[in-house]
Amino acid sequence: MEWLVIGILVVLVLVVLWAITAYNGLVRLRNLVQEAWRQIDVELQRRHDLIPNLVETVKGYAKHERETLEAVTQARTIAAAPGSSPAEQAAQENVLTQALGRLFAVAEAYPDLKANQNFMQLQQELTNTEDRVAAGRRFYNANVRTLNTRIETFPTVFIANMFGFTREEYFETVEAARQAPNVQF
Amino acid sequence: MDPAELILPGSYDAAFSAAFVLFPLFFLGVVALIVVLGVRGFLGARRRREAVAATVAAHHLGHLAEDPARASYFSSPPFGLGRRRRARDVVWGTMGGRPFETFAYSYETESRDTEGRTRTTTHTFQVTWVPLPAPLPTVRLTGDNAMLRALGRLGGRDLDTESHEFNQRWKVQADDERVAHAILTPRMIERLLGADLVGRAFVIEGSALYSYAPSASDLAELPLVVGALHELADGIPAFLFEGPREADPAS
Repeated sequence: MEWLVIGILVVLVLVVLWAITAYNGLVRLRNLVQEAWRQIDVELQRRHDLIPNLVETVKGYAKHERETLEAVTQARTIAAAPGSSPAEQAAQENVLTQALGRLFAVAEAYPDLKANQNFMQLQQELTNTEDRVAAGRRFYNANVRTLNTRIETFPTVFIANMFGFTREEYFETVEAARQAPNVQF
Repeated sequence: MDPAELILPGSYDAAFSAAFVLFPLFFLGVVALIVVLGVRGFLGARRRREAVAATVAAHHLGHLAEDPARASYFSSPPFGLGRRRRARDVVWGTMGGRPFETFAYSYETESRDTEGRTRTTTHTFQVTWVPLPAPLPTVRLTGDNAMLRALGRLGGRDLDTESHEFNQRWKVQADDERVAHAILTPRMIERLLGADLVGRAFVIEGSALYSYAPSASDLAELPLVVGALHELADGIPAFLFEGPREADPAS
C-alpha cells in the first residue's frame, strides 16, 4: 500500500514537472514570436518613413505620373495605420510593394531621376530595409510555426488549452518588388 | 563412443598439412596487403603533393608545408576535437581578385576495443575559407554525409526553413537564429541546393566563411570551392554587417 502511494506521488510529481516545463516552453515561444513581430514592426515603420521622401523626389522629375504617386501614398497611409494583425499588415504591405514596383518601373523612363543621388540613396535604403523585413519575417514565421505546432500537438495541447494559448498568424508577404526592372534595348 | 575415435588418422594428417600450408599463405597475404596499402598511400600522398605544387605554381599562390597556428584558427567542429591537430599544405592567395586560404586539417582520436587495445584514428579535412566584411555569430551548415552529420550534431538544435528540400539536405545550427534566418534567403537556399555542394559543410565563424570536406584534397576542386564560398559570402545580406537597428524610443 505504501509503495502504491509513493508510486502515485512520483507519477504526480513527474506530471507536474512536465506541465511546468511545457508551460514555460510555450511562454518562451510566445514571447519570442512577440519580440520577432516588434522587430518587423520597427523595419516596416522605417520603410513607411522612407516613402514620402521617395515620392517627393520622383515628383520633382515625373509630375505627370500622378496616378502612380497617389497609389503609393495611399497604400503607404493604409499600411502605416496602427492596429493591424500580422495577416492584415502583410496584405497591406503587399499592396504597397506592388505600388512601389510600379513607381520604380515609371522611374526607368526618367534618366535624370535614375541618376539623382537622393533617389539612388533612398532606393538603396529601401532595399536594405526590405531585406531586414524579409529576414525578420522568416524568423517570425519559423517561431510561429513552432508555437502553432506545439499548441496543436499531443500532449502540449492540454497545457495550451488550459492556459489559453492560441495560434499566431503568419506574416506572408511577397518578396519585395523595389528593384527597378532591368530593361534592355 | 569416444569422439576422438571419429577423427580418422588420415583426415587429421590432411587437415594438419593444409593448415601448415595455408597459415604461411594467409600471413604472406596479410603482409602483401599491408605493403600494397602502404605503397598506395605513399604514392597517393606524393601525387597529392605534386598536384598541390602544380596548383600553387599555376595560380601564383603562397604555400607553407605546415603551420601549427592554423590548426586553431577556428573553434567550431572539426576544429577543437581530438589531439595532435595539424594544418598542412597551407595555400593562400587570390582567385578572381578575391582572397582565400585552404589547408589540410587533421586530428587524432583514440578508442579502445573490448580487449583494451588502443586504436588511433586520424580524421582529415580540407578546409577552405574566405574573409567576411565583419564578424557574425556562428552559423553551421552540415550536409548529408555520415561524418559531416556527426559533426553537425555537436552544434546543437537544428533550424528549419520554409524549404522542405533544404531542411532534408542541410542541418543548420546557429548561435543566433535571427542571423541564420537572415542569411538563408531564397537565393541562398537555391544556391545551397546546388549539386556541386553535396558532401561539403559551410561555417560562418567570426569574420570568416569556411567550407570543409572529408579527406585532404589535391586542390583540383579549389576554383569551384573558392567560387562557391565567394558566391555565398556575397549572398549574405549587407545589413547583417551593420548590426541590428534599434527601435525608435518615441514610437
